[in-house]
Amino acid sequence: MSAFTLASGLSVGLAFGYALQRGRFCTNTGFRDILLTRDTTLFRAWALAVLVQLAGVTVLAGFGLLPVSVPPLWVGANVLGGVAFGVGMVLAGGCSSGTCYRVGEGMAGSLLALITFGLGVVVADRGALAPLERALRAATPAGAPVTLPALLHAHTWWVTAAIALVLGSWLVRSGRSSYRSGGWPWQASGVALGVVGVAAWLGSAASGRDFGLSMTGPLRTWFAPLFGAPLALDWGSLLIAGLLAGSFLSAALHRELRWRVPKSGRLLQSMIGGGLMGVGAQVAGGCTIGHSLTGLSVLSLGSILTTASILLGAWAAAYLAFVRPMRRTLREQATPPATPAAGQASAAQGD
Amino acid sequence: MSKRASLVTVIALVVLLLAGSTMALWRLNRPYPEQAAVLTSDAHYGSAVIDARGPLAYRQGHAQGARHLYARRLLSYAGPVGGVLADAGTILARLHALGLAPGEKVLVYDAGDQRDAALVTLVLQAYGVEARALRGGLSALPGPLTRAVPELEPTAKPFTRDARLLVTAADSLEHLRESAVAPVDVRPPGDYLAGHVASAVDLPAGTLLPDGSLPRYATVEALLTGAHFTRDTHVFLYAGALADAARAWLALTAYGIHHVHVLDAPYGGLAAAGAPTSSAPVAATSAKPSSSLCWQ
Repeated sequence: MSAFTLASGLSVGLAFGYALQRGRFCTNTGFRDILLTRDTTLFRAWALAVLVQLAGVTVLAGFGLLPVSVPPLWVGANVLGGVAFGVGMVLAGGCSSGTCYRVGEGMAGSLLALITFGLGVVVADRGALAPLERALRAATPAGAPVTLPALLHAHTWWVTAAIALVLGSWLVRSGRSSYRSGGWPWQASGVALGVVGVAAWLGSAASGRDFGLSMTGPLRTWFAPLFGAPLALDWGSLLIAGLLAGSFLSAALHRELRWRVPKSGRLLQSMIGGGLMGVGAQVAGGCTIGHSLTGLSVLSLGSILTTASILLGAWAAAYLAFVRPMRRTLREQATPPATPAAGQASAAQGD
Repeated sequence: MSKRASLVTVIALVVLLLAGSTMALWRLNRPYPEQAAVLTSDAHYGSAVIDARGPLAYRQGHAQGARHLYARRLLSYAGPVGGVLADAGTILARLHALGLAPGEKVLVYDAGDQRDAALVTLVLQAYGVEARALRGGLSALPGPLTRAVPELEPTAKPFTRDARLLVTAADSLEHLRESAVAPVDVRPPGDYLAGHVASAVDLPAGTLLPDGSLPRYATVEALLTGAHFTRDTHVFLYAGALADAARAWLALTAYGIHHVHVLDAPYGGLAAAGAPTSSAPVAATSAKPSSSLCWQ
């Protein structure tokens, strides 16, 4: 490994982890809050990060300065993997980025989720679920368009400009946010993550890896040795190391570093969620970082499909785990207490 | 935590990112240091032009004054292993018939994918001709094409083959036994995994010279760094077809590897000669299975 690869992977990871922790950036929270609290603050940060990265990558690639590789379209794998990932991140209480920055803050649940995430990735890649992954990926016919401009038969510049116009005007008109996290405002974290994303594309490509920020592949590199594969460190695996160090540094500097261990039931839920995220991410070919941040910046159809499926899975899980129980509780609180006679009658019916 | 310390941290990270991105841009777009030794964009390079395409393509139209030397005519298919470099007598006869002389500067072109031009350039350089492959091939040539075949004056100049550049299977076995060279298999990963020379790393020719043009400098650098090669490593290339080995030679020479040795036969010739083989992959950076692609 060259000194540049080492320095670039670690420094981009450091900046990425710092920005994630300062911005409290978690797509699970961002996607879920739209449904739960009707708040779009983190969603806006995510949209701005995508927009900045999309503009940067389009310009650099358009002028021939940056080689890019586009995540492929695997319809079945993208949908099923995306939904599984969405459900998993709600169970785990964080997406891949949220889980990582919370590990840096000292959250034991996130650490366990990260470990099972890595294990899930390797099990789907090399273990019992590998045939499923291969079968789902093979189902999409070769030769199908893989990017939005190719599907629309339009030039990348025009598609990018149209997206920038629509998304940009929504962000400008979205107004002030009442969301207070104690970290950066959404505008700052969106721009910072977008800039880090562009820097990742450059640093990674200059290390012979034509892709940007990602989690699934790098985690697989770290966990594959458990299944007998050699540890082959590259730019991506160093990104993960830097990411954890960056979020730790940020949490320590801002006195937000605290070892927290939730109850055993919550820990178990995090582990199951992490494992589901890992399997889903491996099957879909990426997670909320590789697809929903990086893949969208090259307008990959596979990434668009996976992101939509993650959103669907997250909303379905959030509805079942939070919205429905909350509504039931509210209904019970609103219902006047039953009279003893009525209670006896219903008990008799139940018998 | 003071706001000042936070600001200093953010500024330090921004400076790191800016410096890293600037360096990355430079690395991505820097030219190959030694590409002038094998490739040229100058359509007026040298005193002779050679068309390395097939006879039909040559007859349909070629550059003004271009002499015809079809790459495959430099190979022999008579023996048990087809596609071996033809014997010295045949090669010399072709060079003499084309009126070439040692040390002469010659421009070689093909359709643009460098499959034929790389092979002709390699063989000509091995015989002391200052040949350069034209970037872009036929489409990079100015002026209209012609069907007129130039009249040539045969020569009888003495050519000497560089036995270090084009290596025979017998010599290769000796070098491999002494571990004097680092073997590189430039066949596709599937062929490599089915069996390759023991300790050979897999650097497919399609990665080193995709579509006939050099990839980003950083791409080749990462591949070679992953294989632990330096510019002074004695690299020994073999392929399923000599044309692929020639393409890999073109890329590695352009990159600046000082000692590139090319087997003058396909892999089958080396295996038949008794080279130790294996099916275990050697370099972790090569022969990636489909599921370990970087976009995840």
